[in-house]
Amino acid sequence: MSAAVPARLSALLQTMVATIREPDARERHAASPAEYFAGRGLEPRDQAALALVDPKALFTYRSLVRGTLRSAIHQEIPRTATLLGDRFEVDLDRYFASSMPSSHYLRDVAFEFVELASAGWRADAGVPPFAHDLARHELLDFEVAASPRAPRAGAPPAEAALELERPVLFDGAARLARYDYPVHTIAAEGAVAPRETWLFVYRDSELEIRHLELTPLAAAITRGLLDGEPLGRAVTVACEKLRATLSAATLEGVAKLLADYAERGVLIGSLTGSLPDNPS
Amino acid sequence: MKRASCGVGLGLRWAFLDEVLANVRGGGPPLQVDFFEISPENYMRRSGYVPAALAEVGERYPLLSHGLTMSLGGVDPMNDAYFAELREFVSAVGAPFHSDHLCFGGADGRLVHDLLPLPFIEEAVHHVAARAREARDRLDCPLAIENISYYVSPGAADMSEAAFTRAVLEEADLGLLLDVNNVAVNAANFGFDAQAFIDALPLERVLAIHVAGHEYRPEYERLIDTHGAEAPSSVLSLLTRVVERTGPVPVILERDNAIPELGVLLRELADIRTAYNAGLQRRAAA
Repeated sequence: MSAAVPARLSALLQTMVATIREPDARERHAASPAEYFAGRGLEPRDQAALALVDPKALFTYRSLVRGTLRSAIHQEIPRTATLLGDRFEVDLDRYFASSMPSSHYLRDVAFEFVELASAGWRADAGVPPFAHDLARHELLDFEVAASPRAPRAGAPPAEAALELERPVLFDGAARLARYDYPVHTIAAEGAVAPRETWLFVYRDSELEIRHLELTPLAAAITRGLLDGEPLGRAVTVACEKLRATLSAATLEGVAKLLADYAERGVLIGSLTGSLPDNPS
Repeated sequence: MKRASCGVGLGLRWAFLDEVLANVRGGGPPLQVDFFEISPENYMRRSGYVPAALAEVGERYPLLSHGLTMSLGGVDPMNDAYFAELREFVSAVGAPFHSDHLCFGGADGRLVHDLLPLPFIEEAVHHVAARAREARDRLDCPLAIENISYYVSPGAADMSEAAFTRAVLEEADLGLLLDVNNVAVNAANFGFDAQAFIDALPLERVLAIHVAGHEYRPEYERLIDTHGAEAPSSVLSLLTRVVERTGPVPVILERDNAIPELGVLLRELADIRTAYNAGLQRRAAA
């Protein structure tokens, strides 16, 4: 698009958005419509016309937009919203004022909101310490439900038999998450004690979301495999990292883990080459 | 321009996707729906159950593509990734054209996920027409724009809504997705004659028609385009009168709030079909 945006149009559009975003827009407009629209680059005729608009009409969009976004975020992280109560609503208002969505996809809005709000949750002693983990967990379910099943772009072909010197191929939707709290066990409106938790999240053959809690060693091996390490190296490095003995029992456990993944349909096989670098 | 799947169809929603899928998988008689309209943003850049279900539905019913977040009137640069994905999606579902709204969706890189009204000014005509041409080139398929419902006309208008819409359509050579419910809502809220508004539009450009319901909301002291109620008789009357002028076109029922069971929507579709056929009969008799 090479043509410059007309200044008159730009000022009008920016002003409409301001009536939705600005935290004190209603109050400032009520005090003086003329002053509210001043200093926004509007042409005098447009400023005068806007000052005559019925406030109920002018701020209809403020209510509709906020209602739509609030509803979308509640739908994706309902338990976090319940946990935080009024605090959640205050954070939503802060989000509307300071940020608003950048994505074309409504389903991305809750991710952007959590990214913005979670720093405040962690810094506030009044917020349950597991709130951030709970929000991440709810979002992860959503992410896995919608993620492409295809493996990473550029991945080589896979064979069913696993080889120690080769990386393995997982379903593209599988994810590994680490939480400070076992948030997947929280009953509605309940609390939970801290415990380092590794959760493998995947879609089954019926496209339902499944969770598998892993031991730290299983998680470390899985992390290595998801990152494209050859199977043997992923096991060795994980054992070294966790100071676990690479015993026959350990190898038996690894075999069971991989067989379990394969049975669940999430481990597809051995790659016949290396995975490309992970862009993330 | 190419029209396709004429008759009466339904906007596909999560709320009854499973019921539609059960019909498709059950192999029973087809639903009394000539096609489904989908919003690509709900299916693009994702995998899993939802797109798998859509693929099954698409094997049995034609699909129309109606977007939500193109922000044709916006002042932000167009999003390359979005357009590339949209182009791929529209092509993949075999939609004969893509439509989006004559509106803007945000500013400063932010999208509010609503359809915000454009000012009816000369500058906006040229701006939107240029962006619409670019959008059509990027999508490589015919493009239609929909008249929106609005609650504010921002700024001092240089022209009427109908004149604005016509000017954009003609300058960019676009199709029109005429939403007769939006016409009814705007006519009631702003006190103009709905039929006169329609008469002022270039109806030869109509590629499809939207039908929906609206509600009076006391907190706003006006009708709100909620898509949360049955289409009233006033909207169906407009449909008949438009179809009398256009001839066969795709007509789509949109329902986004208080969505009833599929059976209820199918009964409403039968009423819409009656209004649609009445328009065709009047046209044949004329």
